[in-house]
Amino acid sequence: MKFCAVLFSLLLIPASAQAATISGFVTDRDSGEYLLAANVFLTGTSLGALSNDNGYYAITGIPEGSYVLAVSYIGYETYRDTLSIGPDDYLQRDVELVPTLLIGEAAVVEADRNRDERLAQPGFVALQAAVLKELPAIGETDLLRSLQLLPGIQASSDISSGLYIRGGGPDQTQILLDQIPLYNPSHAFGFFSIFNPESIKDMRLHKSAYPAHYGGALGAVLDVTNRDGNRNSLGGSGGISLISARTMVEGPIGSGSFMVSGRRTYLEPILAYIRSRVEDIPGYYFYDVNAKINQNLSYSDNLVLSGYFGRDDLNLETGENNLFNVRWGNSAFTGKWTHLFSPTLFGNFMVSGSDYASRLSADFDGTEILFRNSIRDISVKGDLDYVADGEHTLKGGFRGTSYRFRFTRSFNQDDQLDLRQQPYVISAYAQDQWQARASTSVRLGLRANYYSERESIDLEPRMSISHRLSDGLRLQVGGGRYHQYLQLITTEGFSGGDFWVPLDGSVSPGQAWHFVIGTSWDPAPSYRLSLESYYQRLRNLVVVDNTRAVGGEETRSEDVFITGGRGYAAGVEAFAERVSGRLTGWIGYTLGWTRRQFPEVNQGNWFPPKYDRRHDLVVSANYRAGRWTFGGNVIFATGQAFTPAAARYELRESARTGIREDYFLPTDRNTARLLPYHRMDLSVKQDFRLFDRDFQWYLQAFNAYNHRNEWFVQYDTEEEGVTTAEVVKMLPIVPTIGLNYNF
Amino acid sequence: MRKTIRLPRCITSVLTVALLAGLATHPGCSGERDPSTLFGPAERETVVVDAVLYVDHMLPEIFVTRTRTADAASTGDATAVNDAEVTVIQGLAEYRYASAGRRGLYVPPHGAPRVRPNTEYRLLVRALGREVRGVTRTPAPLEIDEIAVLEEPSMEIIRRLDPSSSVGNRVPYREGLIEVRFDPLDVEAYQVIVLEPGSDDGGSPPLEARDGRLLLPWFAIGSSGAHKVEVYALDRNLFDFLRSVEASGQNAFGFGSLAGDTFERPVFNLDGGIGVFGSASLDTFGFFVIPKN
Repeated sequence: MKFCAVLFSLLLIPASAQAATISGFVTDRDSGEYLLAANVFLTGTSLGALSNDNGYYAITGIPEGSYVLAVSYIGYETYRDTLSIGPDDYLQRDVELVPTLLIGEAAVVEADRNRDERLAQPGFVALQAAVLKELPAIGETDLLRSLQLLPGIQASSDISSGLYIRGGGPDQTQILLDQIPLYNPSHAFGFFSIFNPESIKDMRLHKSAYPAHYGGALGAVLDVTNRDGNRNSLGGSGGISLISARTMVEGPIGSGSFMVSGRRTYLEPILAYIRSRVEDIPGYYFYDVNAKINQNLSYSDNLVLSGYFGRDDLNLETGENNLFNVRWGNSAFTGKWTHLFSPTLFGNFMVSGSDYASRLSADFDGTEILFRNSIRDISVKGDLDYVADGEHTLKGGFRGTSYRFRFTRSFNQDDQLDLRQQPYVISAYAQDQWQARASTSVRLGLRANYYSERESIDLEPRMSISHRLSDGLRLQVGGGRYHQYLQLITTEGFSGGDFWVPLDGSVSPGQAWHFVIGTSWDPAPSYRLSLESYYQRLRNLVVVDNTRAVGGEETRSEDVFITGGRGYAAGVEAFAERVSGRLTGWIGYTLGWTRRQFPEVNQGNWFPPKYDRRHDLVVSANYRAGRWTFGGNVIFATGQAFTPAAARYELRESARTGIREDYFLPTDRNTARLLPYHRMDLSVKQDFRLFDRDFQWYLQAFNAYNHRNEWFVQYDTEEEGVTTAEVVKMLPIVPTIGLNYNF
Repeated sequence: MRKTIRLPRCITSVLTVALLAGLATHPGCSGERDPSTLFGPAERETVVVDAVLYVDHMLPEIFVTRTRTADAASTGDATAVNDAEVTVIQGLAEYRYASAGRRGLYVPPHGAPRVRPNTEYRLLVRALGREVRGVTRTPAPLEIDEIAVLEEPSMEIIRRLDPSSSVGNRVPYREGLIEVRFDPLDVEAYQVIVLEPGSDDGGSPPLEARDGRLLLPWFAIGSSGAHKVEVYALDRNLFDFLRSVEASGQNAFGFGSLAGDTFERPVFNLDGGIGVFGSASLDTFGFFVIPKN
């Protein structure tokens, strides 16, 4: 109640009475899209702000005088306008930025450095869709795979788009699309993510120490925003590759815009042809659709409706009587109303729903096996941004989410498990972005979560400080406490069967403390260097207990999971980036340690999880020469940990039959390493015009020098008298050709 | 005025080539590895005990062997430990086993009694300079009351099979589901083994059956003809071993071990060695599968 009272009181506080205010929206001149995190500042002063998720900014506490208002955003010409401001003036200044063809011009970069100062948060990365599209990829540009090229982020294998961020697994990263959580963001068993590159506008990743308006994950948050659609003209873009086709159409409608995008694979004829010659080739497809419509009800009111729907389907028929089918997909919708209560008070209210369902069925000689999982949430969310004065920007909000989980497992018509839970989480937060000094900004936040299964409130303090030591040199410190109430049950390299379950009252939710300290330095307008170290301490971790007997109806979390885990992740990330010029790209290096300990695992001893990597080096570069763009990635990383066999022993499989079985005895968990991982990707792209339209063809080679990296080790005890250890390798060279177009 | 730092193009090229050359020549980058590096530090000479007591049966034969290195070929008797002291203790009674002198096999003393239900037995093995100790508490006797053939999907009973006779128990292949019914015991789980002529199929994973009902999967029945089904009520030790050795190297869906996060040491419940010292009670029945056509 107190929190609600504080929020309500914000509505009543007038803007700073003794000083002027400038506010407005920042949009793209060509498309009318709102621009997120554009830097709006009064040159020669420390006064400025970033536009929020709706492109809105407000600068208050401006003394009387004459100023130059500047608005900058990477990829756009910097806007400048001279203003004469009187005492207590209120100026509404909406700004349309003009896109520049030459991304990375020095002037743009110079202005953007100021934006970086305001965005500066430890562990934070912001990427635009245009940057992602330039990176070499396997077949398709993919958001999550591109992120794996950043320091501190790893993949578990060549065919996984799962994010392993700063020593945390994919289960510890929350992925949001237009602020809706997505529970399994992968297609094709993790080969691709569900994000259609045509529809992405902006992406923000908090690798750790994320702020108070996010919650529910022990590790990181990836916040992806889809395009609103072009408000000025009908147009679109798309692409075709060897695997799939995708397209996006956008345009004005009513007092706003719409955007619809779709993507589908067309592998079926190829797979059918192979199946006619080779046995056990599955049938497979995936598709996804994004749609968004937004309407300006008035200058102060905007309504957005958006949705996502995607499905994967795999069928495998082996022999006469064996069938295997996996189907999974996400669907999500959101209705969002934004309202400008006053020039300094911005509100954002949302109703959303997200649903993820997977169904794995098999029929072996008439014996049916069925796994079904679904998680559905309905959320109500509200956020208020209040620019209190020149020093304080307050943010507060709430979120209420009701979940509905169901997991069923039946074997041979026997419903062995039918778990249903309907927990809810209510969260509220408050945050102050405080410009303590011209060179120092502090972000203080507190989040409180009530989880119905626990019937207690978990408090999560959050903090970050950014201090400018000298021009271009910043020091950043951050930290916070985090809880996670949902647990992902995953099959490591195969995400099709992933499912989430809520922890009930029998198990404490996972808890983490994050500490981050780093420095960033811009030695020149085109170059950015950063060095950041992190430490995460984790408690109450759980892992699935694979040794459970088959069956059981009254199952609680303590029956499903091995509990009481502890862990830590520590490391240092170095990042050097060139952001403008013909040659752009970065070099990232991570030195990291990750450890886990469970009383019932590995005889209680600490062990490194498989994704513990001591070294991880990535070089990513793009070179633009006229209409040609050449790209390349070089990756070198410590091999994944694995558990080798230490001995063999024999036991009778059944004392009554006397049949002997050979078993392996493992060493302690993950005491050995696969060989170091390394690969190089190359791409070449050419822009051209045809029928007065922009086209681009591309040729890409994933793993260009065809080095088969090690994936995992299998031991074979079947051959009598002979022990074999097989290393299963990852992908060979994967060349791709494709075409992108705009219309 | 800030100056732009530009690296000369030749330096950029040299750095790139040097980096790639460095990677390519790094010892860890060679394409193939020595297979011996895929095995961990050898755990040799660990005593392995194989002893399962069956309620209402005679004290069982016990095997005592040793582990061998993971990459060593199996050589039959090479791992046998034939000079161990093996004793099974029940209450005040001690049963000293005798070595058969081959394969690490030990046989109970002449006149040893049958295994009692709901009774604690202890094992003491002295071998390779070590003592291996274990304890098991035997389950109550298991008695199958009813075997029903159920219609799918209604799960209505089509017919009943005779638990005591296999002669008249004839079931068309994949017609209905066979359900075994019994009074549930105070055990963690059950195991089902389907024996058919010419097949060495193993047992099921541990199955919970708190309601005393177990459905038999048809995929465990590979052909028509006579089949014998053994249903075991498992003690804690057998249950722990079977569930953990089953899970080792596999995940929930049975795919192979990916770099080892599920390759875990089984739960042996033995001090000083590895293996199984467990107990079970069992009942059996038989039936004849009639070909589909």
